[in-house]
Amino acid sequence: MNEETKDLGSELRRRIDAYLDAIDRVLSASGMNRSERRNITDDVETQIQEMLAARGGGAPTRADVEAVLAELDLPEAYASVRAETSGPQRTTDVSSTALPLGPRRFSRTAIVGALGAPLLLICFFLIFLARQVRAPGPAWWQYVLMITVLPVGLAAPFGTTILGIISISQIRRSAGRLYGLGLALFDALLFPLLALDKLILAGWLAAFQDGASAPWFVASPFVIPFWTIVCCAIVDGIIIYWAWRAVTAPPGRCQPGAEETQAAIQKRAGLAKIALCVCLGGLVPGGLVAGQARILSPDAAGMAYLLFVGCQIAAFVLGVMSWKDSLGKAAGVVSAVLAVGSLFLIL
Amino acid sequence: MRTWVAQLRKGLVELCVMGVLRDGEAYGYEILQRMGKAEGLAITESTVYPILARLANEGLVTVRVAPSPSGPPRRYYQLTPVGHTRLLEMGAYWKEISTAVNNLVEGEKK
Repeated sequence: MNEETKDLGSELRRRIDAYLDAIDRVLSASGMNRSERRNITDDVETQIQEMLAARGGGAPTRADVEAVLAELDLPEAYASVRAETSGPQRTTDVSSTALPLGPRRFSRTAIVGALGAPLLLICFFLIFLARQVRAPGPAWWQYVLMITVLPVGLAAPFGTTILGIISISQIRRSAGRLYGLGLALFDALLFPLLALDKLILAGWLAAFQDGASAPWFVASPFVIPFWTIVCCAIVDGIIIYWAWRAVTAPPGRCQPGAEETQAAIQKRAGLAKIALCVCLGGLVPGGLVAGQARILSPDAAGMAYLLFVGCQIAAFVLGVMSWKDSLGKAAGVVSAVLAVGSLFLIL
Repeated sequence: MRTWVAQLRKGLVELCVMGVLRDGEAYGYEILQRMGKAEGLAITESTVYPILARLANEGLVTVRVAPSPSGPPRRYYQLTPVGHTRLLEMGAYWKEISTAVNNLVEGEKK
């Protein structure tokens, strides 16, 4: 609510907000992004206030508000117009907006799915407690815990992931009546990503088991954990980024990037330039390590190497984000080759 | 007939909105009122505001928010240089096609 409209009675304010919310839901269901929806509802709100002011006679009454709203288009009108005024690449499923507009609510499936994460922790804790008790044999309550808690704990990762996927589907088909897409995606990705991170960790431990040939590399205690954490963060970040793009794309759209605007293209070109600069900037500490490693102290060489790798990782992430730009693609490929290649030279 | 008129109007709204902004900035309701004064172009807010939002998203207009004496802040729209170029192109095409259609409907003027 705007400050200027606070003098409207709360009941009248609610009536106007309900009308604006209905428009927002229709626009949301037709695939419009939040920024555009906000612009439209702000314009409509301004129009309502202007029309109320034009009626004169002091503070607006309920009859004034109803009369003004009656002059305006029904919220459903925004659905058909949205499809007709969009560019040819937008293939929004407008039929979904014909669904009746009920009250919006948070997805219960997503909430139930999210309970799986703490449930697993509680299960681990209870099992840990049960193992601490020393007795001649397992007590009756330990059997109860094994029968009840253990299956629940083991089922939680699968249940959370499945419920997450179901809730994403429900939210996308709800024409704006359900929300909580972020939590639903969290449910769907949490345990698969944890499993993937575990795999990456196991991979790194296996790779470093025989030690590295460069003495400064093994001398720096933070290099191996750094690489592991960074790899997990990059892989998880990219998966989350693409998953979010996929689930927030309007239903029925052919390709996630189909409705590109001039502003988006310019933003991507800017990101690509930054990626290339960061990639090239990282060559300075990289060259220092390659050429002067023998005269540098292990710590200094380690830090320079981390700086080099950090730059290449940042360039890779920016390159992936601007992949459709040729510069971004080049920065992404070069930085990945440099970062991975440096590992091969060291190991 | 009504369907045909509605379709024709909708196809021209974008050009008309940009035409209203040709000489300077205007806020949403003002654009709507100016378009409403044009005979045969009675267009409602559910058509105009989504187009304004899309033009802003495409970088064809800029938005400036300024306080209003009668309520919430007004959002003033103004054509960008790219928007001006697009308007000229659309205007030229409109002249071309309207002449061609007139010639077909009314016959070639000798």
